[in-house]
Amino acid sequence: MNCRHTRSRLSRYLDGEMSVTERERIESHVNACDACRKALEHLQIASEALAQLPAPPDVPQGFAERLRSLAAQRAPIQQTMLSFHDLLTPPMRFAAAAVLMLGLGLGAVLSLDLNRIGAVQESQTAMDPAAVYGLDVLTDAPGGSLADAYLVLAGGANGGGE
Amino acid sequence: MGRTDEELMLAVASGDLDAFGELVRRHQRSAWNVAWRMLQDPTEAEDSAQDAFLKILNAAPRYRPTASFRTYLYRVISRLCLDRLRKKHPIYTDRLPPSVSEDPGPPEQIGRRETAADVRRALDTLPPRQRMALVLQHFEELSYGEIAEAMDTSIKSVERLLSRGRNQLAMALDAKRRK
Repeated sequence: MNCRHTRSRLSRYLDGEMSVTERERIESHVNACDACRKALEHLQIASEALAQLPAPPDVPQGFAERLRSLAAQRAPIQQTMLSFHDLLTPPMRFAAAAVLMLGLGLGAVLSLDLNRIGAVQESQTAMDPAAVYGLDVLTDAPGGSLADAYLVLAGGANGGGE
Repeated sequence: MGRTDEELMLAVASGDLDAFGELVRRHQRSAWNVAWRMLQDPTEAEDSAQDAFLKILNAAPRYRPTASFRTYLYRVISRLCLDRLRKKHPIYTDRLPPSVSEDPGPPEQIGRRETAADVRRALDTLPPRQRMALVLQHFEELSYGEIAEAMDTSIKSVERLLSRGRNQLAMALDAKRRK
């Protein structure tokens, strides 16, 4: 057993976390090696120091009662959830899960369709600059009028309004 | 014959608050001691200990007795204390913990208290995980396996935490003695 291995096991040795055989090997090495013996004493200093720390104060008075009271306030919500779950038999739970999945799936499909319609409408709108700028109300304006000029500008006839 | 902790937890999962109360009475001291030793503040320690039990109550429906309840409780309280410490600056106090009397007493008692204060300061300089490992091993007398469970790490890691923690503690005390 070399020093490096011994020192890596000294905490375990101090805490009694090893087999009798290994314990004897550590002790044999430590008795023959000054450096490892000092390393062990160093760790023992720490353990003895910790023993000098005073005990914590008592648990605050009423701690358990306050907790019991807090627990009782939370209990009705938990009880309701547990009761509902208990009402359903396993086949009913399976059926409820299946209905939920079906609903989610339908919702996904419908939202895709709606998005497609929305995209088509959006693209149609995009093709009509007058509608984009809200100028489609002027489409009946006579040629040469100011309103007609706005429509021309919105349509990009004069180079996109630059 | 009374129910085991695991039987009480299964009863808590069914909504038995008396079982919860019994668990609190049995284990409040352990939760409080760990929290107090780590946080060194009675208000924070009480909050953490209370939070630990409430977390256990909330998780009761999912509880499976794969490990002892005691180890489970230490896991919850350790995590809460380490989270609190991570959010705070390191504590350094010149005052003794409140459990020590203000009466100076005979010289040998004064010497012990000064040493206890030095040890407290030295312990506070340790990284929180090393400190937690020492608290669980030295004061709560958990095995390496139980400490590993409580701190969600390996036994090898626990060995390293304890070894480094003790070395650092000894060096800090040695440095203090030389001053």
